Amino acid sequence: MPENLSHQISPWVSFLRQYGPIPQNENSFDERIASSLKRGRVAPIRVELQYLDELVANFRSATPRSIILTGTAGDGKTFYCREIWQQLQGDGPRWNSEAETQELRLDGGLTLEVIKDLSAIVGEEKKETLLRIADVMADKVKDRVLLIAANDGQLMEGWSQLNGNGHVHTVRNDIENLLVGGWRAHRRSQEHNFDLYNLSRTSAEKTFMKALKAILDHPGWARCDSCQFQQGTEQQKPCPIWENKTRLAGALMQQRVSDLLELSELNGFHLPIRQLLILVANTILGHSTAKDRLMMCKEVPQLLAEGTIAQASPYRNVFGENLTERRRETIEVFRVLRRFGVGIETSNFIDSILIFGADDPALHPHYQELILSDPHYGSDSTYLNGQRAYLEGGEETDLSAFLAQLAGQRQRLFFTIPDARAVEMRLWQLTTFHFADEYLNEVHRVLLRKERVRGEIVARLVRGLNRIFTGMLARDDNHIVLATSGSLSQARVSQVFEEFISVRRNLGQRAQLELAPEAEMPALSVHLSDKHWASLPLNLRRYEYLVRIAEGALPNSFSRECYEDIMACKTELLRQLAARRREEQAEDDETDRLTLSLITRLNSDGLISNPDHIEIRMR
Amino acid sequence: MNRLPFPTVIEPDIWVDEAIWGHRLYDEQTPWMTVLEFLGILQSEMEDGRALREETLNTLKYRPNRRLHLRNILFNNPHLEAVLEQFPNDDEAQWQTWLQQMRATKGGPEERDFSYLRQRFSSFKGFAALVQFLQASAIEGDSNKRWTSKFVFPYGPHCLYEDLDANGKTNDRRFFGRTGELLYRVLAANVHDFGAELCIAPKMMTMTERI
Repeated sequence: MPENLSHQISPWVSFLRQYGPIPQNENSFDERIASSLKRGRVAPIRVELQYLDELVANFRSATPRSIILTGTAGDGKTFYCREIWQQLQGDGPRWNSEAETQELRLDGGLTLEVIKDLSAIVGEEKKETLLRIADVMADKVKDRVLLIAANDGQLMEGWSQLNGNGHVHTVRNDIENLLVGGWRAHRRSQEHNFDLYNLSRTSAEKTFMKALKAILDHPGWARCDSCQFQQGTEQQKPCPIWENKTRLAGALMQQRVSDLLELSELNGFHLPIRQLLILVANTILGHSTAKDRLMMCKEVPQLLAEGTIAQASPYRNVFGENLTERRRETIEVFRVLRRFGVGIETSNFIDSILIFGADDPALHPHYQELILSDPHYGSDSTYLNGQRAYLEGGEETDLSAFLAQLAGQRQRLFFTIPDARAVEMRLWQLTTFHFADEYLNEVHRVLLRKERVRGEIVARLVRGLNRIFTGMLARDDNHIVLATSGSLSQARVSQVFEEFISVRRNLGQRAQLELAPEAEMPALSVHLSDKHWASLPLNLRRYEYLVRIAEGALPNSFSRECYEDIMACKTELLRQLAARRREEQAEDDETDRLTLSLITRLNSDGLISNPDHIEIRMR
Repeated sequence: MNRLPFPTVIEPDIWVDEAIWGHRLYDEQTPWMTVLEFLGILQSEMEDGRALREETLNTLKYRPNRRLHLRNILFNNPHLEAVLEQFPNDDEAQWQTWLQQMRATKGGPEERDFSYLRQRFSSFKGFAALVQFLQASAIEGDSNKRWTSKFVFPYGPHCLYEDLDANGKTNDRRFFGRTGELLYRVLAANVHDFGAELCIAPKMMTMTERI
């Protein structure tokens, strides 16, 4: 250890800790951080704001438009307001974080009124505020522009109590339309003088990378370079805070976290920036026995001495494993990420390496590469001892501690198995969604690049679809089989054949993967003709469901919701088929004959190739 | 309103039940059986031109269909598969054997001639496939009830008939325990509230859920 180094207490680490899941981190987050900044002599975390420049430019222009910022709690609405204010401030008044509304004279002579939280205004004042908003947006008041922040749920509240003039009503409807329609974050009103930014429509994985960069590149880390614990020695492991920071800076780990966040968005779970900051802070600072379960600099020597460094594993912290279960469940980001089941899900191969790898010569190379190579969080002595006790112990040995460590190891492997080994190691079997990787890289990202998805992938989805549509273990994958049960709609097996729809383009028929029109996610669109089609948006859950069915799983091993979603799609296709038939007048004109097509069995290749057509003469 | 006399013979809680519901609410009748019984009554009354109309109280009199030919073909017909296996690819022999066996089977109509079916189907195989399909989609089709208590899915009026005893002679009220009749009467009593053009379906659904 170089002699001139000593133990440093970094104010930056204490500051970062405030962003983590500590009990005080509840309300008025931005306000509290601001006051802590004043005291702490720490440079703030500067996450690059996607829309800041264009918003500031708007208010500096000769004809600025009013702006509504909306989004869920923690999306950074107040932060935006403050940043915009500070850029426009000039000689004007300073930002007052206490005031609900405040005004600033713009260079062009107009007055900018910032309403930091519309939902905090109540009663008569609320009515006046809403009327003022309507006046400004409808251009009845010309010397004023507005910057309004409001949670998306609360933006529409209070308007119904206004019995104002016609323009109040049209402004309200305009805001509502912009709020509910479309998935783009920035939407411009055509009728009135305002734009709406829905910050919940910015995807978490992009915000995450920005937040991560802001934290990892923060100048506050410089202090650590003169800390005696930063680098380890032969006798002593390095500081876990620094170690975690270094690991989080690795491209592979960033990619895997970012993939999980993107998949969560595609599953319909949006994570605002505040949650992402909690995630980063907890990943770096989490430790199960530290105070509030987040490490401070002054605790580090003791933790090192106790040899409990493995409990600071960033791979566990990502999922909030350092927290109590109760605490963890209250924090959205951990609830969302834990849906992937990383740590609980596993494959025999991975578990064999983790448990038998030390002794089995066939597995030992993997063991060396995956466990022994990481003395910090992999081949930690507690794990090695637990493993030995597990293998050698009798029935009375308490295994719960080792099983928890095993889960931690699986979580570590999820973030450390390199891409090149992912297929061989069946990396995604460590999650609930075995086909998440394919969904993300071979479907979603391919579609975003405006390329075509591989035919085999479509074929497999079609096979899954056919199995659910017919209730039979069919192998058909070059056409979609439309069939009905002939009785009640909940019947599992559908024997009455209606139509084949070709997957390859044929007479206007086709089935293909494309981006869903109203959401940025893949969808399977099925065309019965040029005019008749239906689209099934595929979130990750539905995709996994279809593929697993295609691979031989049974439908009722999944949630009923997935099944109902697919059946709703079938109903829509049948409706489209009926419409097409009406237009083609394909119904038989002869009334004395009735033809019924039944799928009585699969052929020897497992195909529904040839339904039996039964003709019944009615007289 | 008339009050029922206080019970002297039966237990009081049964008496309360009966005072409220009459003696016709049979609590073990499944929703499907209730609906089918109800539809049968509705069909019968419709044919007589008085659906859901009861001019004077307690005069409901109906005669649901029995449809014994249909029921024999669908549910009293254990011969189909054997015949198909015995004479593969011989349509003539299949028809002959089956018709003969049906003639010998007991139960249902006196006249056991099913030969009219031959004119309706181009092959015995197709006929058999249709019968098997209707069997598979029958109401509570996997139960092992007697054949006279099995019901085809109510595709239309020709699919409605009443529950009968094992000989196909009389309604012994084993599965049609009059709960469907009660449903019919509740609806008939409320018919003016709904207006003449009834939207029966949703009301019926809630009724059957309660039952």
